[in-house]
Amino acid sequence: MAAGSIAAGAVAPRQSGRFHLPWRAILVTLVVLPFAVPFVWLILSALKPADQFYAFPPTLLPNPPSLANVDAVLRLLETPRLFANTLLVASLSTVFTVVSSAVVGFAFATIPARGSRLLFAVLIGTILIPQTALIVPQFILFSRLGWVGSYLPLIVPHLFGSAFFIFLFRQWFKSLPAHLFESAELDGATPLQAFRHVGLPLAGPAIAAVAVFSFIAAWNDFLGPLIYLRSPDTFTVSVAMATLDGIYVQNPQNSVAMALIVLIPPIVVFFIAQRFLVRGVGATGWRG
Amino acid sequence: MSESRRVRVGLLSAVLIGALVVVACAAPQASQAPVSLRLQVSLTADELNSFRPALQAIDDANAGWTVALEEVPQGSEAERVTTLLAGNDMPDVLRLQGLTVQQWIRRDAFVDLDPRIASANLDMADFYEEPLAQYRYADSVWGIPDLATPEVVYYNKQAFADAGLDLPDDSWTYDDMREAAVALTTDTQGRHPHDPGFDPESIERWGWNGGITYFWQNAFVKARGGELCVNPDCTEMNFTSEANQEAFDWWVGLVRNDHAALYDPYGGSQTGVPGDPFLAGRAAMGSNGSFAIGQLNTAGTVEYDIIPPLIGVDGSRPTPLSTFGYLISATSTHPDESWQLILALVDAGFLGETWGQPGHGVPARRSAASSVIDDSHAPTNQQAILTAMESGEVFRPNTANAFNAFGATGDLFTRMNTGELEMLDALTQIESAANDALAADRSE
Amino acid sequence: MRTRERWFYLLISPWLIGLVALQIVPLAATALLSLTRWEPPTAPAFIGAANFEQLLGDGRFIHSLFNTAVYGVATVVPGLLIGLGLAILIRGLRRGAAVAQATIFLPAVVAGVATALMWGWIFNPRFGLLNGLLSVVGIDGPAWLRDPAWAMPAMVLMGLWNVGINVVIYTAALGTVPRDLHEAAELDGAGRVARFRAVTWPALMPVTFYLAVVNAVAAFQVFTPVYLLTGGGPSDATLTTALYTYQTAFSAGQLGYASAMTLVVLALVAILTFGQFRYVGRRVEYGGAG
Repeated sequence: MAAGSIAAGAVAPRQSGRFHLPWRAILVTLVVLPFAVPFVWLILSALKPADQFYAFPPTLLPNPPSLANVDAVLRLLETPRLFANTLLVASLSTVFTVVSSAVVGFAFATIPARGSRLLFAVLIGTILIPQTALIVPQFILFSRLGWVGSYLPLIVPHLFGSAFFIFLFRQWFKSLPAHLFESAELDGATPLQAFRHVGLPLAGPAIAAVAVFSFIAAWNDFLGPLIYLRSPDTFTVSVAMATLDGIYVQNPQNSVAMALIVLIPPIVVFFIAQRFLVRGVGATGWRG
Repeated sequence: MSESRRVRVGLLSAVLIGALVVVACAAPQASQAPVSLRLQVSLTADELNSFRPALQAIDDANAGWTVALEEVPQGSEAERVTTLLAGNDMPDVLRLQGLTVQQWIRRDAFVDLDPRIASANLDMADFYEEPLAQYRYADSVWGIPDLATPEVVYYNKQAFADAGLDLPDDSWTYDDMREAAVALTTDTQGRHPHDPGFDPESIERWGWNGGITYFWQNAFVKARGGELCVNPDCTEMNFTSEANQEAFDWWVGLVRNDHAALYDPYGGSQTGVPGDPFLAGRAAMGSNGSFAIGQLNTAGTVEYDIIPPLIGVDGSRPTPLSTFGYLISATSTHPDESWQLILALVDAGFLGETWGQPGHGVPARRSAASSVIDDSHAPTNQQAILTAMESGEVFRPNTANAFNAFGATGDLFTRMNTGELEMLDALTQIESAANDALAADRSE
Repeated sequence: MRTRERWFYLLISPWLIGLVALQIVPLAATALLSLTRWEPPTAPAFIGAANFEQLLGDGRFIHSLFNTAVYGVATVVPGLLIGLGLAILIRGLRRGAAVAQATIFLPAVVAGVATALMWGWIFNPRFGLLNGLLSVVGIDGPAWLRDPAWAMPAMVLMGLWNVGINVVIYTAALGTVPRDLHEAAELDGAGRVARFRAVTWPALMPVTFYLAVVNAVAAFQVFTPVYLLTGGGPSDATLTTALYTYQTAFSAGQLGYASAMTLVVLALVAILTFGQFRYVGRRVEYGGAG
């Protein structure tokens, strides 16, 4: 099956059911609403001045909308610097993950080799390892390297690819006709050349999906920065957000406003890449 | 592999490594001055904004060393410290929550400060004894507290006006509170708990917010004449003595017989917002940390004042108190400079000028504590905070397995409060679960 | 062939390096540490299998396994059904399918600390959206995250909010169901339900299996929402195994015991996954590398 038709199947539902009565649209709206409502509530809550934020029973609309909470967190946290830090970590992580995962996934998909089945099973097996369990041994490693306090422990591991994204790329490349790569190699191309000149140009949606997921994962990462970053000037948004509250002091109106600010970049990235993302993710599921 | 390909792969790797080096250097790291001290704190963003300029001033005034500030969000200190200990990578000075330090003190993670306290002539009598107690072990002091937060009693003025009651004052006892709480509790039909037809399922406003929900509220047991700790570090506990049973009976009765207290099993202690029933005007009174003043003033939803902790059966005012303090890592290569830094950070002048705003803790030294008093904002009776500092007591047990004991008993407290478990049965089970969990700490 | 094998190993070498340095070595260290009592800064002391014996009698560990199983069953099975249902519903749309799909997909993609905090506020018993909506229809909502009976349902609700990935994958899979089979069945007079059972469902078996495995593994490792919102409470109602392991390592500082827990959990996940492959996987011919 060609990539083009997979994509069409995923994005534009061509099938026209027998019923086009509005009930279906109404039903879909009702079903879809719960997915959007929390975001709407987040925006409305963030714009409520404190007395309305703590109104009981709660009110729906801020009246009038106020930027007081947003102002308060912008005064409490140096948001531009946090965004710059997080952007740096997330961008480098994304580039490294995409490149390394694509190459490894390509090799698994297109080059038959002794041991590849076993290694692929190991790859899938690593997905089962609870990563929180490896925090201490990994910390000791990075500490011995003298990397703690810098961004290196957050970025360098992405050079080695990520099991799930390697899997995703493998699925993608396997869904492409094998003769594409075979003929490239018959023309004298090395597998690396076949990857660069034939594989990569056809991997757009998979690249987009992995890029978006790894960017947002790095943007949202909490445990990594918590363990490895020291100076508050180097913090990423998730860890900084956790400093808004103390064990005994809590100000949810600040946290809600910050949650809104922090969600903006991932949401923007999502909408920019959405079409490719759907195709890339959709391709992971059914090919053995 | 062709030659040009190899070159290209080589170039690519060089570029990647170069990028990494740039990133590594761009990330701020400890400065390479003659003596660089690493100071780890766990301050909220608000506290950090007060603290950083003050720390900078100390840093500038001392040519001998520079301080690299390290921060960890509150509530996540344990993962940071455990990894640092495992990796043998501890900062020189750490500011830690008192409840968590005993486990590390007992494993020799910190420096005994007694000799330094003696030679520096630090006036230990100026420190409130209870916050300091959380940093004591084996007849030595291992940390110097800087801030503490006691609980005081908050009351909603409008609720008292609605019920036609006199406002509470400093002379109030727990029995006064209970009497008022019953009168303040109303259901949606305006009936009180002992009125005919009162419906406990539709309470509009509760008199008191809370009950005893875990063993760290020992202060409330003490107020009724009980005592949960059998030995000084509370690694052996008793819940079933006659006095303790009476104390629990009083509190459970306030919830279940009088329906005058909102039993919110985890009223903000683990999740959500502390004191929010009070914030919403649904609870007329409640005990909460003095930090809640910040949130109440920001929200502006209720007109309130405070009184000191209520007077218990023996005339004292027991109340829970939390604290933070500074310790020196046993692995620090600059313990002398570290000690100088701590002296500057717990200096009474420094404490008074840096802290003491709504939402902050209270300086742990008597000579600096009055800096929290500020007539320009609510509440009126802020002296109550200083009274609470004198009588507050820190959480015990606070040894390594205290959190395990907490985890093992939480459910039993809940089932006792809801009536699912008969009280004596629940207390017997709590006692054995807590002592089992704490057994390892007793032998140390 | 030898050259191509060399290429294979050259191209996967980044992953192999990471595998050894960041997975196998740490995991081997964990295995060794599981035989020790290690509470830093005290040095590790070899204690044989004592940690595993302790684990057998650790009621909270057993309880955490139970909670994790409840969470897994309550999110994975409905997650598959809802995912498929929404995918079918959306595919039938003439207009707005992309918008509907994006709306459903968004939560799954952006989920993190910020959305967890958002849910914390939605679940707030007094000021939150959920109880506000319930009170409109006259229901006095529970305390959610603070109520031992409702905290786990709240976590499941949050988990199901991330069902968008299933929807996207099912939508794509529906596009690959052979059209001619459908038409043949229609000619045979099969109704919609019969055609779904005879044609669509069998064609969806591989993707369903894939999703079941991936979702089950994710559910078994659920950590962030419980860590941020409940800390495992109230009354351990949301204490998952991943969180209990984490707390044992970091709140209690018992790294040896936590390592033993990790190994047991890993073994259980492996057995679970193997079981899925063994009993379901072979029926759908979902193999490894081709």
